[in-house]
Amino acid sequence: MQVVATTLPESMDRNEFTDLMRRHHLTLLSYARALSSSENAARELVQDSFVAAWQNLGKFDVTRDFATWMRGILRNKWREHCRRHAREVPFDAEMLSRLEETLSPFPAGDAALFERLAECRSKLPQPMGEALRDCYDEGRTSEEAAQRLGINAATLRKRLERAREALRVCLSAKSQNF
Amino acid sequence: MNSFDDPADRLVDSLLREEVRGIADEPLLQDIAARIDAGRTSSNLVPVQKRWGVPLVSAVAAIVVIAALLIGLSVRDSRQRLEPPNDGELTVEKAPRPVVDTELAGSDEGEIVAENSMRPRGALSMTSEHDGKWTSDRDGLLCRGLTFLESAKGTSVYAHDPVGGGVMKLELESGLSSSRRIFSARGNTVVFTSSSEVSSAQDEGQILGRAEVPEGCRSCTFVFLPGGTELDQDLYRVLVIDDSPKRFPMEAVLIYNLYPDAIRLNIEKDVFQIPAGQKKLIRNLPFGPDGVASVDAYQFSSGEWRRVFSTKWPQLDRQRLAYFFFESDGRINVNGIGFPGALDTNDTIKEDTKLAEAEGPGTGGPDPDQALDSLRFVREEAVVWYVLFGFESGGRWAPTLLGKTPDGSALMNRVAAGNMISPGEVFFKDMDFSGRFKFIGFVEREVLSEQTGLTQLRKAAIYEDLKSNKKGDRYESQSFLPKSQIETSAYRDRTAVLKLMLSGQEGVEFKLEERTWFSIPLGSGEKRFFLKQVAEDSAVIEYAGPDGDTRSRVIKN
Repeated sequence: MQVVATTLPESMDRNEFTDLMRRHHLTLLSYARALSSSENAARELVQDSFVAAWQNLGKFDVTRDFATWMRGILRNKWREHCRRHAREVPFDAEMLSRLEETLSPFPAGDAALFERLAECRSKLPQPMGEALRDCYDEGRTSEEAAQRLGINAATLRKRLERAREALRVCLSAKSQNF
Repeated sequence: MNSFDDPADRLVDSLLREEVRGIADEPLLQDIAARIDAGRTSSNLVPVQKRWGVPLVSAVAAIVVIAALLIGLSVRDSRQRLEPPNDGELTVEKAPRPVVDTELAGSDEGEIVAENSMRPRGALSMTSEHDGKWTSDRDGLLCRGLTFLESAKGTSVYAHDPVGGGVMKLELESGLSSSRRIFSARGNTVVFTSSSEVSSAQDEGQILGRAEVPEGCRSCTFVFLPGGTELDQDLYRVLVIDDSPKRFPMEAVLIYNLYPDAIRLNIEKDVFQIPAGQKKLIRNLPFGPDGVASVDAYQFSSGEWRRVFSTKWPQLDRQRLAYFFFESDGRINVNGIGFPGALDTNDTIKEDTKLAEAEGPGTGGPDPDQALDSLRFVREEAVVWYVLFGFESGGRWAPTLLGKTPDGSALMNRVAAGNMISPGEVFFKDMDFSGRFKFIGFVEREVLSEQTGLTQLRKAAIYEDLKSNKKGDRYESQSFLPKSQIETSAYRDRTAVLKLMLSGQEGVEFKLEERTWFSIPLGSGEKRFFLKQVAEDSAVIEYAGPDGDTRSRVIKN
């Protein structure tokens, strides 16, 4: 894994902030999608969070990494969102810790995370790897993929779910021996 | 439980989708940028610290000035004291416009040289006693126009020679792709106006800018930068870059500081200072272990060095890079541009000639003009492609290819985030466009956002073509490129479909890719013709005439 600056310099100009946004936005978007099942709400949350971060750069604690700081801002934005939209219920602390555990090993941002994700995928058992390739890489529906793999759709969906869980464990800090 | 009710599952699902997509979410980034811009009043080049601290800095500056006046010190003295110890030899002088009358000096590494064209507007007068003649043995000056000003891009000006009365139309382009023009002139002063009328060069009201071409210069780029706002100042300040390899060597970086403050560049562990109004040529650019040069640029302002930008320069590999720091609308602007090494120099022209001699056609056989009479252009076919910026991290890159063949099939390929490439590496590994490109590195470009109307620095990846007929061509993939601009930014591999009306091969259609040699009749073994260029309705063929001279023929349908 590369060594990348994860903390903010003493002063930061707009271009540096733009670089940071670019480096972290996909992970943050995925985090927002995890919190809110609505795609529109997730994108709004990411936008609000980066704007708030830009406006509050002075408050950033340089002892923490940028990715963690951004997730903190996004969580606050999401709580505000939940207050405004009563139907969305905030998750409990345990669930939030689980998400944090998955993402915290990647303070350098998206590229490092995706690098690890690719590595994790290569270690999956073949049936899981095939299911992911069919559905994610090649864009087949679960029905199409199930037919191609000679299994029923429910089995395929379960296999995908297990594959994702295996990847989550692999990404998380506790997964040194995956 | 449905798995998608599980946030952790949704998280990994989203990560998988993004990893497979392989590119940044440009619309999201643009939306955020627009929202930040909407609440922002300063330039993107002004550091946050400066913007937030304006009242404080102004107050401190005022106190320093008053104190300096009281104790009889000049502001300049006080600034010198504020400079870091290693900046001792730099004299920082705040001037409304850099004034430099030094002749263009040699270009040894690290040497600070100044150019007479960096004079303030008005310093060059039409009635000056400059009666210098071109001292070289050339027939004219090979030149082109370059500008970074949105308002000037794509416009034309007329270059006038006030001594000999010569006039030439010059297009102002935002890049160096335009072909050069030959300007025949007797004097070294060039005056630019918006009119082809010779008299316009004598009319101060019509003069847009002026430049002094250095003695002996045979090939140059006129760079049009913002002029002054006063009535007696020209609209453009015109910089003359002698872009011959002798004056601007390969793999060198030329820095022009036209800003009223001193500039400092920290390149890896080396420090280069460029006082206001001067330029510096840096040869033997220092590179880090990753093969790129980390660059931090600072301006000396209000008694301290303030960072302007940070970037990485790739290995230049027979290219040259020029950076311009200048003032526009009261702010510091920075523009960088790569000067191609190939096709720009006499050396390369010689190399091309050798290549043609080695691989090219003989001049024997039937009359080439008659042979070409039998050729018809049928249509153009093109593979349209673009390499999306994708991910970058620590100088490494994960690009994604999008493309379409003439029959409408999609081309797609990518470098996975897990296998990001470094400068010098060849991509893609297999499938479409396998082994086609070499990644050179990243540069920064100033681009205008259509959405916000603001200019911002954007990272661009530079990569080189390794395909035999396009070897050495360089392309760019710009980050944050809106989806709507992919089509217009796409590159084309053009092929001409041609038909022969020759006895024995009558009606035979064949396809030829641009910049390849071929023979008439087909398969005769003697490749005398070169398909130089393909357009929608025509093809340009080059061949050697009976006397060995290069001829050109446009074949239309």
